[in-house]
Amino acid sequence: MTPENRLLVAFITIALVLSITSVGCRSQSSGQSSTSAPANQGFLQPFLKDAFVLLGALLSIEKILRALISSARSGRIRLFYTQHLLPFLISRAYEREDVKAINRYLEDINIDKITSKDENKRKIGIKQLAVMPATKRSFQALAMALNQEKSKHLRAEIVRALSFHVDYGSNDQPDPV
Amino acid sequence: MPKILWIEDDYYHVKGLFRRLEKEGYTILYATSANEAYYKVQDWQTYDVIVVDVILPLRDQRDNELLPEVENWKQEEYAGIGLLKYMYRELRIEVPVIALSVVANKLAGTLEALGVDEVLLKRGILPRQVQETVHEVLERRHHDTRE
Repeated sequence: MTPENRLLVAFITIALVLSITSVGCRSQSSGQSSTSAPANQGFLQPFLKDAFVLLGALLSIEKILRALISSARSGRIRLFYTQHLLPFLISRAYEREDVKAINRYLEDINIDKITSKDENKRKIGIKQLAVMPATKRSFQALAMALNQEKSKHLRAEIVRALSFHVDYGSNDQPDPV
Repeated sequence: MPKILWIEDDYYHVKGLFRRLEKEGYTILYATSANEAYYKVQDWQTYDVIVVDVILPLRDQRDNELLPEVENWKQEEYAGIGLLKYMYRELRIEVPVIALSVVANKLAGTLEALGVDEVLLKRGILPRQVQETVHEVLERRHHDTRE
């Protein structure tokens, strides 16, 4: 079973438990015994309704999370992505032993470094990207960094890194999320 | 339990890779720049394994100033090479060293000539491979000591 499926099963189980609990509470508060005939008659309807409402809400949260990751990776909320989301995603990718995702996040870390205010960090990011398999994403990040970089030495490093990126399309992978 | 010094600037990467060893009870100590590593490797006898990422920043925001010894490592293509040379030639360390880097393939010959026990490619490496390599180098060293 994949981690996503395990998560879904966990969500459904929680939804079921909560629904059963809420049905039990409702029948107790109305003064009826949970084993009496009137309580049993309407058991299935509120139970299913609650379960579906909960499941719908949880699936929406997952959708929102996916959209958030996609938006963050594209650079719109980069700070939130690198500081809060990326550590969680890396740890999850390691647990799943998902090599493609790990490599993708490793690239994200280095792309983040080349936009850092710290010159040492930028230098490391450029050096790492230069030796990693080139992707369209890393090519674009390096090209953007070249426009913004003021240090002559680092500009030369970026040009060197870009020279290894001529075949970037061949290493592109779909997003791991 | 064994103590590992991990010299690497990507903290989150390290956390993920070393979780298995931490669960086993290993103690992991970190250095995130060459400057910080310089101080930590002085006590090399207190570690059982040292793991070095070859592409290291000379200093990070926490370092107040760059040490003159570390400044010399600028001449190397990668600061990690300067650090390894210092560890083997000046400190004459005798603990197993694992080099882990995205440039591991390119530098394998240089790293092995320096005396590094294992060279691992960072890209695509999994926590269980790191765990196995650490076990192997420790076992090998234990075996050598007995002989």
